[in-house]
Amino acid sequence: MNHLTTKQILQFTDGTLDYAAQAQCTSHLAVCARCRKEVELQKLVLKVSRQQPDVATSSGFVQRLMARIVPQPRKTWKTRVIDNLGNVFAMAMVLAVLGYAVSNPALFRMQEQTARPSLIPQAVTDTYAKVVESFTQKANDATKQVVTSTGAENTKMISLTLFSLLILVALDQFVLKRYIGMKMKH
Amino acid sequence: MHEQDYAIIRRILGGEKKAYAELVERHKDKAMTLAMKMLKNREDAEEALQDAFIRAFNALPRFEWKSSFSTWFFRIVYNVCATELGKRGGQNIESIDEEVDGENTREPVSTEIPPDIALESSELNTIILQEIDRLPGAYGPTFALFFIQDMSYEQIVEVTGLPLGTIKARLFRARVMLRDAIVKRLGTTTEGNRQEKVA
Repeated sequence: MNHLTTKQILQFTDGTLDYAAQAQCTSHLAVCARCRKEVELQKLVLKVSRQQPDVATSSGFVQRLMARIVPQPRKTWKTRVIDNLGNVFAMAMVLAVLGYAVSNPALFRMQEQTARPSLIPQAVTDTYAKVVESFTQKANDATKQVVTSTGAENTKMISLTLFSLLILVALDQFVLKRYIGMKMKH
Repeated sequence: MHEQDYAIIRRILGGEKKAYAELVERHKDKAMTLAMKMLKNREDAEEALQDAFIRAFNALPRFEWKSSFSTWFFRIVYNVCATELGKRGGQNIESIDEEVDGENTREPVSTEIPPDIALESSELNTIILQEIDRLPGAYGPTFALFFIQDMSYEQIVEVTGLPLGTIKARLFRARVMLRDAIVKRLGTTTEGNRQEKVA
């Protein structure tokens, strides 16, 4: 038996044969299992390849492309401030706390006693040490009382500052940026 | 389909550059499929696609309204990928040239499909998909354009810039290669099954 050629099988599968050739192939296929199997395989190949899904691009593909095509306009100072509102607020709070601490000299009395000698020349330090010693003697228990309370207030102030910073960073990350981001998107 | 593309293109040319994202969304996955078939590597395909979209954007004022955007854009993707293949060192996608009516097309198929094979198994579908991906050189993209993207011969001629005879020859060869590879795999599978049964 003469089997169908590869070309005939493909053309029969595609339906591109003329009427006479189509009829000839059909009558051959009715009696030839081998050629029938070939046509079935070709039909399956077409079916599977046409059902093949497209390959998706990775996420963010369009955004990356559009950033290259339409560059973002430069941000104005207002946008920059709004974008960093949380940071600006946090900085303002820290400055306020520090300002309050600096404006209250009693809070730094303990640091003055320990830190000042190391910042000035040795000769001055020695003289200063004598003055401080005599002053300390005269001030006696009253001064000690103040120093103790000042140390406690310092610790309290540092804790308060750190806690404020923590709250503000959380506020910045989880509330302000999201809220402002959503508002600007819409 | 074309009308929607044309409407978007008019908006872009009218100054609404951001509308290009809509055009990208509509065509990126089909174009990615072609790029993957040609470059066979995801990162390279995405990079080539980005390049192609940028080129298309810049060339949009010169877009000829007589053809569809997809065919026009696919030609850009095809050229970008072909250039990339050339850079890889001697892989020239246009180097194969043959006639569709060669003597071999008139011969009956040589190897027979194993008679005990069921042609409706999911395993066979997987084999077919794998072998389509393995089609070498220019055969994969030509096959993809015709069967996966469902393009006509004329559209493929427009995309590739190759003569119709070459396209037909490539498609024919691709289908024969695919058939032989599938039958070979089926033969191996059948042989394996027989050995398992004997054991």
